[in-house]
Amino acid sequence: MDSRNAIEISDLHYRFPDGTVALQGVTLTVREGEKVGLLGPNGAGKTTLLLHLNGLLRGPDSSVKVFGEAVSRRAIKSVRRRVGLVFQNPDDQLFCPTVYDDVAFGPQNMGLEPHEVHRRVNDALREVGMEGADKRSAFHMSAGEKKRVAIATVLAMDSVILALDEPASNLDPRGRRELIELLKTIGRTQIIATHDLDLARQLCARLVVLSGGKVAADGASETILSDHQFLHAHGLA
Amino acid sequence: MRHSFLDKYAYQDTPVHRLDGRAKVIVLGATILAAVTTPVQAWWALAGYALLIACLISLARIPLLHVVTRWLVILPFILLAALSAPFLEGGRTVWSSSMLGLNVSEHGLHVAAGAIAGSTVSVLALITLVSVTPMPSLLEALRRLRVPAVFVMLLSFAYRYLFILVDEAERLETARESRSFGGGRLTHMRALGRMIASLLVRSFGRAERVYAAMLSRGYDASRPIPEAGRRFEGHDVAFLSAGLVLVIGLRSSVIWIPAMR
Repeated sequence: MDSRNAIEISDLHYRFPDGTVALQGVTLTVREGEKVGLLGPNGAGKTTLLLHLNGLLRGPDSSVKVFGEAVSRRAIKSVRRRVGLVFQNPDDQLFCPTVYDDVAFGPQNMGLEPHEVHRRVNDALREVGMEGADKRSAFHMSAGEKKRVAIATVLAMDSVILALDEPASNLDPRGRRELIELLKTIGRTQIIATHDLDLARQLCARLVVLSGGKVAADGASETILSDHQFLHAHGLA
Repeated sequence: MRHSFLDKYAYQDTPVHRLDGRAKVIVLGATILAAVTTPVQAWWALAGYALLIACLISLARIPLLHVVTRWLVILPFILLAALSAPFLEGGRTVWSSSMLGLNVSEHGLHVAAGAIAGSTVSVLALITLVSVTPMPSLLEALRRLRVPAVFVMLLSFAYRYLFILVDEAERLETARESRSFGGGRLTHMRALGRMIASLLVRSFGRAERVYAAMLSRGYDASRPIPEAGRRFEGHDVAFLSAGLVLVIGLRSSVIWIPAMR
């Protein structure tokens, strides 16, 4: 196996503006093509960690690297192109009047020609099974449909790493099942922050447990998920 | 939850709906500009603008009730704004009360009537515009008419999040309702104040998350977005020129106001 390191995080610390400590020394490497589940109870720092992956929050310049490139002010554009962040609430991610505008937003900001933008929007919508929805408004869609379009907005940017924050939250069982199927088919490197153990088991071979801003465990899903006592201690069971 | 959208009738297929958004924005924008600068003595001009709007409404098959009910929502604000105008000085005094120390002047009454008529025409024009143009086309039209991108974006966000905000307010209201037992008006007002504050805080949080989502997809306020849009066609040009000629003609006719001759 000759896969590169997609993400390298070394000793990342973060403190909220009000002084609350969110991350205290997170070290983590994700190989290209891996699907890693980021488990942790509420407030463990999962979202904060995801926000560091595309430079929305930044530590010291060398603490986060994407394909070897430090997430610094200068590299921010290429990093955001590579790391597609899918927010927990699709209503935050879908801010345009139509689905088309939302999916086209990233490619347009990349400065692509209109015909190329058009092609990417169509491809991305097809990939998530929402072809033909381009004229619809997110306001009138179901939670599952919104989630699919939210994923399409980053696929259209050709992101090679997907960082998903609680992808199954607010979905009904069918919506959740379909989302899991979708995430299985779209490949790419995926980092999935969740506290849905079953979803993590189905999608990820490797799990990282975050607790109190630190990595409490990092290993094979089966091993971690079978240690009931450990999960209980970290608020996951 | 379902809300009746402002642009409920905007997706119909009529000759008016098929017109290019830019043509509609320009003609109705010109109507508004003309209406607010036309003195009430030129009543025929104001009636002319209203007639133009009425023609559009009927061609676009928008129910009159839809337009009128939306106008009624705005009416109190118009009346409030016109309230003080009759007491302006100038011209003949029509009515006075030494006890209140107020004088109603003829000039003042004209200004008040003009304000009411002018803003009524403007509001009708705006209601018509959003009823015959889907919001996405309207926003595109504004962008292509070189309206600053920040304004277009603000409008777009207002449209996208208005109903989400209404939903949120309704949920807060339900939560309050299910926990409030009796209590006087003051208690109610206090709860309302807290609700509004809570809504503000939530919106603030949402704004931050939306902005983060925009940055994540490479948003850069300084970069213009290249667009491929439709071109003006024959009927767009015809509508645009006929509309502008009519509005400019009516506006110019104020020279026939007797007192201004």
